[in-house]
Amino acid sequence: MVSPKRNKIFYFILFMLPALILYGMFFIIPFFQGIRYSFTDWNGVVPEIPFNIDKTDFDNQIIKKLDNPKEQVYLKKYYRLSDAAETYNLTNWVQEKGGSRQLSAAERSKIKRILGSVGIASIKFIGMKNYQQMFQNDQRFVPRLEKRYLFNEFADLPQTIMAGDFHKNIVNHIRNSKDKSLILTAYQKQAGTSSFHLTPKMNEAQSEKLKTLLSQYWYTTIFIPGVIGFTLFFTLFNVIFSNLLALFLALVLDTQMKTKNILRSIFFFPNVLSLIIVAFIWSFVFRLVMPLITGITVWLGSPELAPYALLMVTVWQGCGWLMIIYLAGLQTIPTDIVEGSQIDGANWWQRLRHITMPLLIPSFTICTFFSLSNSLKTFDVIMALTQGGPGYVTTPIVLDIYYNAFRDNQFGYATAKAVFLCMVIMVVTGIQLYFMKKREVEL
Amino acid sequence: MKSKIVKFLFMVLIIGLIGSAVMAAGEPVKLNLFFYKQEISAQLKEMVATFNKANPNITIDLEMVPNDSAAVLRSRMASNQAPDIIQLQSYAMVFEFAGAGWLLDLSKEPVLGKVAPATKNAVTYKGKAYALPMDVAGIGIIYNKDIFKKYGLKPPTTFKELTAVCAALKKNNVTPFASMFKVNWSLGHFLSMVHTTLAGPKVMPWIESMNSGKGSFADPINTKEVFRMLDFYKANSDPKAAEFDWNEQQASFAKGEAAMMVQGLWSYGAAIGTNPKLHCGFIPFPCTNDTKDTKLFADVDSTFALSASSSPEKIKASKTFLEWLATPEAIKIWVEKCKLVPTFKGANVKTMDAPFQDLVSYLNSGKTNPWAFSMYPVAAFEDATKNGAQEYVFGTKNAEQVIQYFDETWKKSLKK
Repeated sequence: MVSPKRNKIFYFILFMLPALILYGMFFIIPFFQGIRYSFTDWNGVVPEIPFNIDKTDFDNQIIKKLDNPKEQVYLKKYYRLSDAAETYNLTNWVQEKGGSRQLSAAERSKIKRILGSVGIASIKFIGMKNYQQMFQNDQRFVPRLEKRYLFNEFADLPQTIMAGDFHKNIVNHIRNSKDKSLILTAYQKQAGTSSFHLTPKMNEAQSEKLKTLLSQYWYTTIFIPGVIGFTLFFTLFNVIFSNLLALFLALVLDTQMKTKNILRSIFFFPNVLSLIIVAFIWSFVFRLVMPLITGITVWLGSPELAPYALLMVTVWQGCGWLMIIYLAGLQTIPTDIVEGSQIDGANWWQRLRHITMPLLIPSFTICTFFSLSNSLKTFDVIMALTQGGPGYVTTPIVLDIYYNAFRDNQFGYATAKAVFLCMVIMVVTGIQLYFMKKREVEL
Repeated sequence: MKSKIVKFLFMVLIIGLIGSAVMAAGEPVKLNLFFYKQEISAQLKEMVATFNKANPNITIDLEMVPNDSAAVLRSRMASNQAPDIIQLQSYAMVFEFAGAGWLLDLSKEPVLGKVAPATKNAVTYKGKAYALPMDVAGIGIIYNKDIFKKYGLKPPTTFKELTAVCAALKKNNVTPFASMFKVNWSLGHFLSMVHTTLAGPKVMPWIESMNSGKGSFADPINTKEVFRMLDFYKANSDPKAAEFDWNEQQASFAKGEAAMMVQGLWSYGAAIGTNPKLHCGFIPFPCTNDTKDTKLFADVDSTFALSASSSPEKIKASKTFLEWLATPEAIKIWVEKCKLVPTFKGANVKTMDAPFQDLVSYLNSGKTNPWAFSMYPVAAFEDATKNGAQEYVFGTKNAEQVIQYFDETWKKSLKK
């Protein structure tokens, strides 16, 4: 018997309903709630309904404004005047025969609704302010140019300054002609050299004046990548290096090597380790082993090197997983095509270029997608290794969100950043998928 | 026959159920104690067991959250599951939760009459005490007495003497300070300590002016001096300190590689644990050449607060616990096992190690400065001060930029 089409659809929906409900409850609703919170000033601490309200506030701001006498009575039932008659306290626990019970959810939401009707709410809607603040008023977040001062006023006066440095970074910054002449007399170009030398005759007051002038005017403008800049830097290099390394390892381990099984396990091993252990191992390596090998003593504590050190750890940790995907991709390439090309006289490079690579594009798509979205969301390794430091140089967006929410109590603002990150991930991975899918070859 | 057996079993079941329900009604109160001081977790367990012996119907479950305890606590509050007894850091944390209404007003509890009056500032918000101050801690220089003796050095009381001590140590190939620059919190303490010490009596008016949105970090002090101290500190630390965190700092000090460390006294326990033969002393960090300015940066560290949202029975039981904390029995464990300086008046601290005696003598003579950083808004300390000090030490920001960011962060947190 063939059932009518409408019936079929009905049963299909009935069949899917539990999954749809779960999907809605645990994904769709929280997702849109998150977007809603990103437009509020939610700070995560203020309780839903206040525990204490000042007596004058309670009388003037709430009771007077409530038109419905029933609501007034309802509020007064739960808010009792304190002994000192200064505040109204919420009776969070209702005395009933047989003990006390906490306020029920229905009672809470009713109180919340009544208070909300006179404008008392723990969360206020503030429109686009969070998004504005993110790009206009957050020093840590967006990339920008900043003055880097090159002279500390507590240091000794430098004996010589290179000519290029002197003109570009000091003299060009001075508008005041008096200051300019003072510096130009203090530092004079010596014949035959390309540097300016300090004139030795100078008293205490003059050298003090010169120090303040130098500390004021001697600077260069440098680029501060900010949280966004670091995240993009980290993503770009992590995607490139971990994919290249993984592909290389996969190509090597796909040959008829005797130890290939052991080697595969070894390269995959970092992925099995817990991240805290990884962080522990690497902080040990950076402190004790790397200085011996490279001669550079400070790695994770150095603002210049810490981003690269983190990149190293992430590539080391992530490439094993990508390698497995590439290996699986390599093994799906039919041997008859490869053998056919061999008979036709194709060398190793030609086989790689014209057979392996095109057939491996599905694996590329997965791997780049995987590493892209993962490095945009990176958090754990950095939290364990540097906590975003030194200063703020290794803070990716997710860690910044975490700090905003749980350290600075700006949950609404942090949610706005999270929504922004979500958009970025969707756009970036969307573009990547669109272009990679176009190049995939069907066998 | 069969049905009778079934009926009998059914009766037994019902009676059993009713019985257990009756038992449950008379069940003792179970409290939840939330704490962050991981160094005293075993000792707290012992305290709670001793308390349970005296009050058999109250049991206390301990919950330790050492890292990001504030974050965990906030999320617990947000989901309406506040713990009954909460260990809170003094000042800002107490004020934050008291301001939001989560904490019970303890002003009229008899136990608050038993603590030293000076310690009440740390828990008083809008004229009411919202927590019980528990221990006093100090941040200063912990120094190795043996190394000082070996090179004939005296603990410095002025900045000049400190400079001389450091020079002498360096000459003898001893690192003057064991420091930790990789993690920002110790540097944040250092910056705030120097700022407070140099500001002296001006620090409280300064905080008020900051809170009214008018002040600047640079107001009460000569900024040059503050950042010169950071330069001085860096110059006298191990060149590898940029790679050191707390463990390396403790190891370096305990092994005697470095003669001093600028730390809270809570670090002493770790150092003595690594090397029990260590003889230490504790002195303030001198910032000026006037001995009068040399005061210890000491204040209330941890406090116990009660949740206002607990049930009346639990609140009553929690108050019993707070009262019990002031008994000699409890203070004895607090002093001897936890090795913390109690806030209770007339507590016996004679059995404590030398550095603690130093701290107590500074407290008793009133030569202390308050922990100004606890009164900063959270973001101004956690981000602007800690990261600012670190950025200055690593040269990514200069003094002016650190100050500008500090002022901006403080102003931003006032808006709400």
